[in-house]
Amino acid sequence: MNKKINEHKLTAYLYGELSGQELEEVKNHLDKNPEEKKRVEELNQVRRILGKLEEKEVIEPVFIWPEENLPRPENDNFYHSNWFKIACSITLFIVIFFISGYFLSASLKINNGSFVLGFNSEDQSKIVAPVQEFTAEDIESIIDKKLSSISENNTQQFQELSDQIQLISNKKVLDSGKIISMLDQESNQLNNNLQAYANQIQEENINALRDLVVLSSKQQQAQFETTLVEFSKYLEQKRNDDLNFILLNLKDLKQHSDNYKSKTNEILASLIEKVNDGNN
Amino acid sequence: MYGETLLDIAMMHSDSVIDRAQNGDKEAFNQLVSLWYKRIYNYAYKYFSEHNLASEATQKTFILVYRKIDSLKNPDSFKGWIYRIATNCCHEEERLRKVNSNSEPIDLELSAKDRRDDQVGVEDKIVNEELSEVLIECLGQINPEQRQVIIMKEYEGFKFREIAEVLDISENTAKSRLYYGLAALRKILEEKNITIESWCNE
Repeated sequence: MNKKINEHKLTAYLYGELSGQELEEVKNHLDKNPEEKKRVEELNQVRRILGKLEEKEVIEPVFIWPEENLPRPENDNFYHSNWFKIACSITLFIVIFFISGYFLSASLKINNGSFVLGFNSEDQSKIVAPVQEFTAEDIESIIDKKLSSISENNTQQFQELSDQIQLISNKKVLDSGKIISMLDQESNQLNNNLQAYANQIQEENINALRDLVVLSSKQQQAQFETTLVEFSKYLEQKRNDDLNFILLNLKDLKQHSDNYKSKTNEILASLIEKVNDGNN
Repeated sequence: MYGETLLDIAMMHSDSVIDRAQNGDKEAFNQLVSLWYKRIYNYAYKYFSEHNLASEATQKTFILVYRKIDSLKNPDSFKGWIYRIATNCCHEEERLRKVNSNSEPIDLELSAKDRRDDQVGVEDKIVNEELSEVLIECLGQINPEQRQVIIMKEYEGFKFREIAEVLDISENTAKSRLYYGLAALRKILEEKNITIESWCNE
């Protein structure tokens, strides 16, 4: 093989991937070397045979993709990473700590090299107050006072409520009487209207029914007459047909009897002839 | 080699589907499988000349694609990327077949059967459906490296540059493998008395 025209160029030529000067060079080379040209043509034949190979049909299987291997975009992966979760947990803990510390009045102190964490430390002095001692009589008098004041309040409230209820009930009695009379009036009016409407409809129905009966009786009469005429025509036709049939049968009968008669005569004649021949 | 079908066009314009698959959309990933399964299977089938191995390699390819799709930087290079995975799966499957003596040597048995049939006479065997199998078997008899380049160039529509990228070789090596692969195939076809004329007469 020519050093310049090697198998690389011949392959490129075979697949039509040469152009310009390179293409001309290969063409000239092949023209000058018929054996090589024949070989390239044979390879081209192989390519044509390969082209006959048909694609194999195949049904793709159903893949079940596992969730844990599902790829995620980078930013999404960051939010699902363990580092992100740990950082979030620590931040949340610190925030909760400070908020609870604020509401519980937490204090941090370092005294003589010791670390002291306390809650509500400032308010403790305010809350502590001298304890006042009560006797049984004191407690009883306080309870009595409280009960009497509660009963006074209750009595006053009960009185007010009963007044209001009385007022409302009086008003309702008046209103209900008025409403009942209005309802009676309306219902009477409605009854009258309904009665008038029902009478009107009844009258219209009677008229319509009467018209219908008159009309239908006329139609029925006409229909009956037509039917009678047609029936008489049918009877006439039937009678004629029957007469024709009887006539035809009579003719046949007559013909049969004639035939029978002639055959009988023939037989008699032949018998007579035979008898005569026997006598002779 | 083949005319462009709607499926081919869809495969070439599957950037958005790849994007969605990279973002964890399972439906998009299933779409990718639908688009590419037949292509990858046929690639593996021509490499192994045998259905079971081809199916195994194809399924492993898609499992790897599923696991690694987020590592694909540029959706435009998906074709080369998936074929690189498929090629590796084919190599791995072939290695396992050789190592594991217990694995069923179906393809070898088939080849032996076909060889026996060849002795009876190839001419009788050449009918439309069987001829494809004979051709696949012929492909299976040439050097695997040359076979791979022939399949990629003839059936998968790769450019020499793309073949070089997928197989991690130089363009000239790809061309040499193709040239000598076709020459070897010519010899095998000649021995089996298969010519384009006999084919056309069918």
